[in-house]
Amino acid sequence: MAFALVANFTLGVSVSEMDLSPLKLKMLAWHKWAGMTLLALVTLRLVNRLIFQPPPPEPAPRWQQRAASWMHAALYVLMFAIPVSGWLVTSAAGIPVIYLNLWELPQLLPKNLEWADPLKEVHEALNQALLMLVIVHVLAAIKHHVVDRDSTLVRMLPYLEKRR
Amino acid sequence: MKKRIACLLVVASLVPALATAGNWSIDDARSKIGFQYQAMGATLDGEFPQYMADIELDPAKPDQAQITLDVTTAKTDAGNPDATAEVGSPLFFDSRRYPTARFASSRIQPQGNGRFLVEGKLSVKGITRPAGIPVMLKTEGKNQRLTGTFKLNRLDYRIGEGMWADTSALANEVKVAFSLLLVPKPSRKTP
Ligand code: HEM
Repeated sequence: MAFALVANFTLGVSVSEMDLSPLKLKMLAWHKWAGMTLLALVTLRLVNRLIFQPPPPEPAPRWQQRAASWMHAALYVLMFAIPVSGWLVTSAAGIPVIYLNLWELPQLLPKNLEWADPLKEVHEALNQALLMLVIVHVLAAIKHHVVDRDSTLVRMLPYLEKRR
Repeated sequence: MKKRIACLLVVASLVPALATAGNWSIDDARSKIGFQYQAMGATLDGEFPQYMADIELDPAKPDQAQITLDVTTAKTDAGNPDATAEVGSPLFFDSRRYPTARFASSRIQPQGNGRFLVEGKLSVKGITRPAGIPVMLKTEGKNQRLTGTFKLNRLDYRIGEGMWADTSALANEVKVAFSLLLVPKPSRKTP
């Protein structure tokens, strides 16, 4: 899921830099489909996290635990808010998402071209915020792995566990 | 000098008649020529906000009418800012070379109940093809309301060339829908 998120982030950036062309339209459609899929997955994951308590955190100073729980909350909020803001952009632009070219998804807003650009900026700003948080998150995780030598990173990437 | 002014006046009085022939004018505020197209399966609504019509019509003999309509292609609103910016370009309407798209009627077949098939020629981007447009004519007070919808294939007129010929991104079929309010012109004075 993290991989799909990064991929869709990259796709979003490439699409926004392209001039209008059929390829752009197709890539934008894929971006929206992937984004809507991620939205569904994030929703499931949020539900899952609310129902099942996450494993207790690794021992760490209190400020770090606080920071970590804020970080997690912020990451969840953004992972949810980003696709929703994208959905708002296309709604305001009056271009419904036809999921996988099969199902037309409902519009969140009536068409209003004046809102499309500001909403696009919101989508962009949320993405930049996500990028920042991910960088901090990754640096922190690496620090735990390399400097503190605890199992924080291994817990994030269960695949590493097998190699221990 | 007086002669010159008189001459100018004569010319000036002729100008409106030349600019808009026909005995009806269109009330722009209560008329619309719209179109619908599909990009990646999503339907978008566009509009041709600027057009000029030349209509010779006797409501008692509608099948004798003569209709010519010129749409200013450069003013096309494609329903999305990016698309609107693109639609006058050479790949689409090529508005610089072909500023107007024209429909000119040649024959009108009555079909009963105020319905008619207006046959004529549609010229877009230098390509002229026969077209039959089903319309409805209704009296609204002193005015006449002319409505109709028809479909055309944009590629027949090279609207969207090169990469845009790809109909999987941009559908070939375009639906045009219009509703025109015809207002009688003050009757022309016979000199
Ligand atoms: C987790 C999911 C998503 C991520 C990470 C994401 C990321 C991005 C990024 C990084 C950009 C480029 C912003 C810029 O620099 O201008 C972008 C643009 C955009 N995204 Fe998303 N997005 C997601 C979901 C969605 C969804 C669900 C939709 C619509 C249903 C959407 C619609 C758009 C649109 C319309 C643009 C603007 C493209 C253009 O400039 O023409 N996004 N996205």
